[in-house]
Amino acid sequence: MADISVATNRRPFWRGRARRPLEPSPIAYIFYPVLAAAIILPLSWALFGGFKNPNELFTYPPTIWPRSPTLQNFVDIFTRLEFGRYIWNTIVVAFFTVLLTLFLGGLAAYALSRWDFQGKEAMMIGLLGLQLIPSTVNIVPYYMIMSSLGLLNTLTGLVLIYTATHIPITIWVLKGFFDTVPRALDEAAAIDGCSKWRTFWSVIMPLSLPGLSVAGFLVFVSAWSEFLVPLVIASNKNVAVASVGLFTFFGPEQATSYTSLFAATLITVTPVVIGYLFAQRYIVSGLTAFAEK
Amino acid sequence: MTDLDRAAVLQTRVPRRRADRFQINGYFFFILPGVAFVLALTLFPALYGVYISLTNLNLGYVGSSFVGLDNYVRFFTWNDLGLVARNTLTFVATSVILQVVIGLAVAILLDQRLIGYRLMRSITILPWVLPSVVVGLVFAQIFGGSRLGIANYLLSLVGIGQMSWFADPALAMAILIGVCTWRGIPFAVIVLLGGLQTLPRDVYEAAAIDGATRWQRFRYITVPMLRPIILICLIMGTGGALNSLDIPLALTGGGPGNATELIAISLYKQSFLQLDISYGATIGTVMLIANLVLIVLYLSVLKPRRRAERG
Repeated sequence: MADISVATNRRPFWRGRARRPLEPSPIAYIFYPVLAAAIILPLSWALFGGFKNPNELFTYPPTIWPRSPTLQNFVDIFTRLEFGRYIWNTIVVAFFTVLLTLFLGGLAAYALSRWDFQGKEAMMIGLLGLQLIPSTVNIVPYYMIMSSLGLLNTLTGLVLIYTATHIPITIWVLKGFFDTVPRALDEAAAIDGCSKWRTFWSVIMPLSLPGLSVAGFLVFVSAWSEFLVPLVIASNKNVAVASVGLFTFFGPEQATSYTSLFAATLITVTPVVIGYLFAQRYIVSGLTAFAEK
Repeated sequence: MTDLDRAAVLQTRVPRRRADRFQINGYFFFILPGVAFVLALTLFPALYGVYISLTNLNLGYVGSSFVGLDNYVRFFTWNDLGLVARNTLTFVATSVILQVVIGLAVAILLDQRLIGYRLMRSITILPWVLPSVVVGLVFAQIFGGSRLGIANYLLSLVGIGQMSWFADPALAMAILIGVCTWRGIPFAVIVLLGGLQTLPRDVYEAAAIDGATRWQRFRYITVPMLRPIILICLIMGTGGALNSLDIPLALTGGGPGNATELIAISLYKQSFLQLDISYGATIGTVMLIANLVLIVLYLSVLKPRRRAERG
C-alpha cells in the first residue's frame, strides 16, 4: 500500500496537485486574508464610492457600502462631464494601436522566425533594449516631433508613438509563437505557389490566433493605461483619453465631486480587468517569457 | 502518413540551415517597416533629446540657438539638485527593495499551491492591470485631500488622531513609496513565481533528506538559484521607479512644497509648466544615461541565461 502511494506520488489534499519545491505548510493560509485585504480594501472603497450619493462621502463615520446606492454618478459623467468622449478616444487609440502593432510586429516576427542571418540575435536584443527606453525620457522630443508633424492633439500621434514602443515586445512574443509553427507548412505553401507574403497572411497568421491574442491583449492593456504621453501631446478636451480625462478633469483640483471620479474610475478599469480575468493565464506566461528570454 | 513517416519527414527538415551572411531577400522587407518604426520613435527621439538639451529652446519664446553645455552647467549647479537627488534615491531604493522582498515572499506563498492559490494569484496580480494614474488618484482620495479620507477614519478606530497625510514631507514620501510598491509588487511576483516554478525539485528533496531546515533550503537553494531572476526584478524595478511619473503626479504632485519632487517630476514641470523645454531635455538626457546603464545591466544578466538555455 505504501509502495503504491509512493509510486503514484499521491499527496495530501491540502497540498494541491502540482509538485512543489518547498514543502507546503497550512500556516501559509494565515497570509491569504492579509494579502487579499491589502489589495481589495482600497479598491472597494473606490468601487463602492461610485455608487454613493455625493454627500455620503463626507459623512462621518465613512461608509464602505453605499447607504442608498444610486446610478446618478454614472449618468452624470456621461451627460454632464462628457466622459463618454474620453472613453471613445481611448477605445479608438487602443484599437488602432493593437491592429498596427500586430501587423508590423507580426511581419517582422515571421521573418525573424524563418530567416537566419548573421546579427539576428543582436537585432532581437537591440530591439529589446530600445523598448526599455522609457517614455519619460523621450517625452520632450515626442512633444517637439509631434509639434513639427502637426500631430499635437491628434489621436494619430498617440497611435504612432504607442505602436513604436510596443512593436519590440510583440516581435518577441510572436516570434516565440511562430517558431512553434512547423516550417513544413511554409514549404507546402511555397510548393502550392504562395509568395512569402501569401504564406504569412493566409497560412501563418490565421494559425497564430492564440499568439496574436496574447500579444494583442498585452498591447491593449498598456495602450489603455498610458498616461504621460497623452497628457503631454493630446491634452485637449476633444482628444483626451480616459487616463488624461480622469487626471485633468476629475482630479483633486477640480470641482467635480469625488463620487464622479470614482464612477469614472470604475468605467476606466472595467475593460482591462474583465480582459485580464479572461486572459490572465496567457498574460502570466507571456510576461514570464518576457522576463526570462 | 504513419508516425514513422512523420518522423522521417521531421528528420529531413529539422537540421536548420546555418546562418547566412546578411543578404537582402524577401524577408528583409518584412522586417524593415517594423524596425524603421521602432527606430524612428524610440532611438531617434532619444538622440533628438540630447540635441535639444544643447540648445536654449523654450516654448515661451520663438526660435532657439545652440548653447553648448550651458544647460548641464545649470543642472549641476541647480539649487534643488541635492533635494531632488536625495528624494529620488530614497524613493527608488526603498520601493525597489520593498517590491522585491515582499514580491519574493508572496511568490513563495503562492508557489505552495494551497487550495485557492489560483484565486489568490488573480487578486495579487490585479494592481498591475490597473492604469497607474487610477491607482494614484484612488489613493489620493483614501488619504484624503481633506481630513475625511478613509485612512483617517481607520486611524481613529485605533485611537490615533487625524493626520493631514500630504502636508507632512516624511509622511507624503512614505505614502508615495507605499503606493508605488503596492502597484509594483505584482510584476515582481509574476517574474519570481515564473522563476520558482523552474527550480528542480530533486535538489530540495536531497536537502530535505540531509535534514536542511525550511530556512536553510530557502537561504541556500532558492535564493542562489533564483539570483538571476531576482537581479532582473531589481533592475526592472529600479527602471520602473526611476521613470515613474503617473503615480507621483496623481498622488502628491511633488508636494508638499517640493518634498516629494522626484527627478521625473522635475523633468515634467520644467518642460511643460515652466516651458523651459531644453532644460527638461537636459534632465531627460541625464535620466537616459541612467537608463542606459540599467539596460546594459539587464541585457548582460539575460545573455548568459540565453546561452545556458541553448546548452
